Amino acid sequence: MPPPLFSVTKPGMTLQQMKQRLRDFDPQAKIEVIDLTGTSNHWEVSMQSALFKGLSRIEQHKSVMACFDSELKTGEVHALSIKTQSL
Amino acid sequence: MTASGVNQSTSQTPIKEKIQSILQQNRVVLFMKGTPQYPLCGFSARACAILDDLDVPFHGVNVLEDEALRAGIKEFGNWPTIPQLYVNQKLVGGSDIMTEMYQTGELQELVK
Repeated sequence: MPPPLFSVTKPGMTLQQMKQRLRDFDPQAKIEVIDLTGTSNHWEVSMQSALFKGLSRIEQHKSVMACFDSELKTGEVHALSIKTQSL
Repeated sequence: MTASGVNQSTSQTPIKEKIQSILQQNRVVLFMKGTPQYPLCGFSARACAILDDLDVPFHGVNVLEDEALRAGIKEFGNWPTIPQLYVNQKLVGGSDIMTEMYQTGELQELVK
């Protein structure tokens, strides 16, 4: 079976769902989520969390992306721009 | 599933070997969508623009040409998005981290 030319994506996450995922990671975090294109699949996430203390920039980004692991795989979240800061 | 049980535990999947040899042969590698001449996604284009601005020769790998490589590279460095920059066989990050490091001057240091 030839690989799909593009991944068939479900409708996309809502703003609330995106925020909830980040709160699941750290309820005390300061978060900001922006739908970059209004299509619910290109998101920008800014997050300040005490849990980032001591983590390298790449580890901080990895932990944010882990919150959307399955959606990144299915393409439901097509693009995720990340800004992190430890508190 | 490889039929041969001879070196079952040590046998590496072809994709992992393919990635490792690309990284061994090229100091700066950008796994991207499209090519440096024709990037096919905004984030990949930004990553290329940063490297071009630093006059850094880099090897662009178009993951859209090889679905197994596209999935394999995400698993290889445990980084689920494209583009991905590797310098000296180490994952630096995606276009966000490249942008941040470019602004702080860290990327200039790294690729010198």
